[in-house]
Amino acid sequence: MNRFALLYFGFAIAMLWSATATAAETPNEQADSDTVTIPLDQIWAYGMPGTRDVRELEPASGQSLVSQIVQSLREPIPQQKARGFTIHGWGLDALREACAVLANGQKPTNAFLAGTRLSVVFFSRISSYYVYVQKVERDGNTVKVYFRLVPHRTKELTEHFALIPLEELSPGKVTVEIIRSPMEKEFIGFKLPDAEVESRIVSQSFHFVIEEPRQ
Amino acid sequence: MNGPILGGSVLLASLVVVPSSFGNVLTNGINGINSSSLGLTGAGVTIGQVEPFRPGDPSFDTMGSLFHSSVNPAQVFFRNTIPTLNFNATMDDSTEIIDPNATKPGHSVWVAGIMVSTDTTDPDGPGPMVALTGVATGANLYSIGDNGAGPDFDPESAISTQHIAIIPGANVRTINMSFGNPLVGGHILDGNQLLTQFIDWSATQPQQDILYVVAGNEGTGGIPVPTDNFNGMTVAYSERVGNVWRRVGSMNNFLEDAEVDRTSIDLIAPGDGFEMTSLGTMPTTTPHPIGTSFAAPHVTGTAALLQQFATQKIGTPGWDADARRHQVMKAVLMNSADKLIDNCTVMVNGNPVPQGGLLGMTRTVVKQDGSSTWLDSFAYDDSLDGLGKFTPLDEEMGAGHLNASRALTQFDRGEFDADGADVQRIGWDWGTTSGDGDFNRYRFADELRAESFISITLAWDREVAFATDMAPFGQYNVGDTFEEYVDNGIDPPDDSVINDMDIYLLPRGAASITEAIALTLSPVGTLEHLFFQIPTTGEYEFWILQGDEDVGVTQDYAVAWWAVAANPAVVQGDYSGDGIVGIEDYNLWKANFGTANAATDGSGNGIVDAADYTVWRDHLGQMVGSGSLASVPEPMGMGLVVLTSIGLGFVRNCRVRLRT
Repeated sequence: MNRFALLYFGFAIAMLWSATATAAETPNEQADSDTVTIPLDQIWAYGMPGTRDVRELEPASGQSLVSQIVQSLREPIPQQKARGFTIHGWGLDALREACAVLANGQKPTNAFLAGTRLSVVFFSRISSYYVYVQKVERDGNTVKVYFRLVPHRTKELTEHFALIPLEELSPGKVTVEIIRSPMEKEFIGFKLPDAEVESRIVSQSFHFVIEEPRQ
Repeated sequence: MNGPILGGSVLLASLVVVPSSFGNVLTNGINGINSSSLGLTGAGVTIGQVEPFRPGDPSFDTMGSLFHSSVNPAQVFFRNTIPTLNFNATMDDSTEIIDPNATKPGHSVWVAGIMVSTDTTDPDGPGPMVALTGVATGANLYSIGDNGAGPDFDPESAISTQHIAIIPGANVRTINMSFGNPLVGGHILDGNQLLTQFIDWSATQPQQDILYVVAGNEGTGGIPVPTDNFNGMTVAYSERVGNVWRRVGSMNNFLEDAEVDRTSIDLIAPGDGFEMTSLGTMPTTTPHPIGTSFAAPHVTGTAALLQQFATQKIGTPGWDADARRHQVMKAVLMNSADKLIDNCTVMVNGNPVPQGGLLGMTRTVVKQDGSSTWLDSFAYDDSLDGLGKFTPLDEEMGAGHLNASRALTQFDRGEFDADGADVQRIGWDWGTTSGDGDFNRYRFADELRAESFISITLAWDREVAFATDMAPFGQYNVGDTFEEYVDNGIDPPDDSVINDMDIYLLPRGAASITEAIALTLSPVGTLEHLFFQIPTTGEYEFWILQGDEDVGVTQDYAVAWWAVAANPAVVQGDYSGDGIVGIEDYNLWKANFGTANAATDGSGNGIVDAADYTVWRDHLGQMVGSGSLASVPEPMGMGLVVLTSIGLGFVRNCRVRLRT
């Protein structure tokens, strides 16, 4: 095989690889075409980089809502899985609702009327990991919350929560998938909690229902 | 070393009663570690802090949001280049201060503040918690960020630690480590991973002789190195029951304990339920952090106070440089830890332990379950048939809760020699045994009282040597390795680097260990701790016995002991019954103020009141057979003490007295 033949062969291989790669990406792009990313800076959160500091929402007077939530997340870790949930409202309204559920024991609602403002509450109970929302995507009635576990090297414990705003959900079942992203390279070697422990610390995937407005 | 020195007069010359109405919820107050009334600040003592990132320093950092003016380290360093030996201490660069992964920055400031903060403000405003003034506000703090990179952080942590350990002229006495590294390379928690080896090696170097204080494991764990150290101390955190720090914190993780039957935890100290000096950007609504990170610096700060006291005493009769040794610090801090409150409420075999019988301890420590105490622990029963003789420490509590006041009482009584003159009921010694089967005998001068407890703590070192030592020799360099010991499947795995040492309590004049009535002979580790109720009033002695010669013929050790005399009433004002009028008696008086507690009713008027303080004050510094008298200023804030005492709920009618 002469030099040109080799070059031609190499070019052909490269094109073939490129075409394959493109083909592999195309379905994702198509699938992602309806995917909406909810920017981190629209998420109110406690102890999560890139988000808005939820402490800025605190009412000027009265008992701190954030403190109440944080104290509730410092309670001994229950044996049951941590369940994420959805609440009415955005911003301060959502903070109040989240506080009512997490700190005051109010049972979260599972059904909401279409057209109402909602927030997903993602949280992690006290642990030796920073738990950060990394990315939130919505595709129709599926919401994917990607989070990172960042191990501490210092011996303090932290708890975290986020209020993720949602709107324009269609009537029907809404799935909220909580997905852990791979640990970043700099933390390879650190121990991850086993799945059972993680499920009690970090709020898990859940569903809720959007109902048609009653006539 | 000859004879005891009574240092109470020096100790108490600057006694100050907690001047704040918030004193009952300060971690350095009477319900915490009780260090604020000792008249010591750690002045002249250099202590260290090693973490991934360093605290800001108002002396040269310019970004005001990254430091607090009340937390002012003497020097700060940051390891800026890997893997060379370069460090810098002069650049103003926020990346050297703030962990980019932490959204609540300030860990290093919180930790440093617990040691040296001079902050007395209350950023939360009226409420139960106030900002913490450091345990050792006068200490010189050298802080370093190791800037480690994973997966193996140990070399950077080790060389950074060494950087402050060997600074010429600094004479660092104790180093706080409120961080941890993950296990790497298939290691287990047997002390063989590099950072653990390094601190155990560093502690034993004559030019370093440093007490390393390591934050214990917590949460889901994952960063347990170097909690498996032998020669330092590992600290779990306590939380409050009411206003008193006395429950083992619920988030301590004891699953990552040292291998074999060794216990990692040596002490507990406050790590939850108090404010810390924070960065200026910290909103006051933020709940205050929790963790063993904040327990360890309480111990480090207390060690600084003891080192300052040693400096004051060295050169006087009975005191020499042995007082500074890290093993002495460890034995003193652990032997004086609180386990069970000394107020007649503790029942043993259906009988209350009489006042004074629990050595003036000021709290009952409960484990994570909220109810188990030392009496429920595997470590408790040190009798011949008890399991405690194999288990010196409780896996959750270690030896108990840090009490700086009792530690100073323990230390203050000075050094006594073995096999010499009889020893007093409280004291310590730096001693040496001379081979397998050799023992050192400590005979008590006085009879010990039935139903009272005796506490004895023995600390010695494991040996660590270089396997690879590159130039500059005799220092750790990145790439150096330490020799690992090999478990031969027969001996405990640590046996090849540790001589075995044991404690025996015997009747005075005993000829053989077969006459022992209590003992502690753990086959692993470098710590023995005996806590035993004296069965009958009588004369006793204890032996320190060397059990083998695995790492040499001779073995140096530190031992501290605390027992109760049979005739505590000989000295007025000696409310603890230890035969000496000291700070512990003041604390007992304060704790029982307003009650009808007979044991602290020195005036005999039926109530514990100011008259009993006068009795104590007038006899301060006296001991059995001593006419020495110390002066002490009038207590400031007496009214506040009254309020505090009432607020503590010490309203008990305790009329049980020691029976002879």
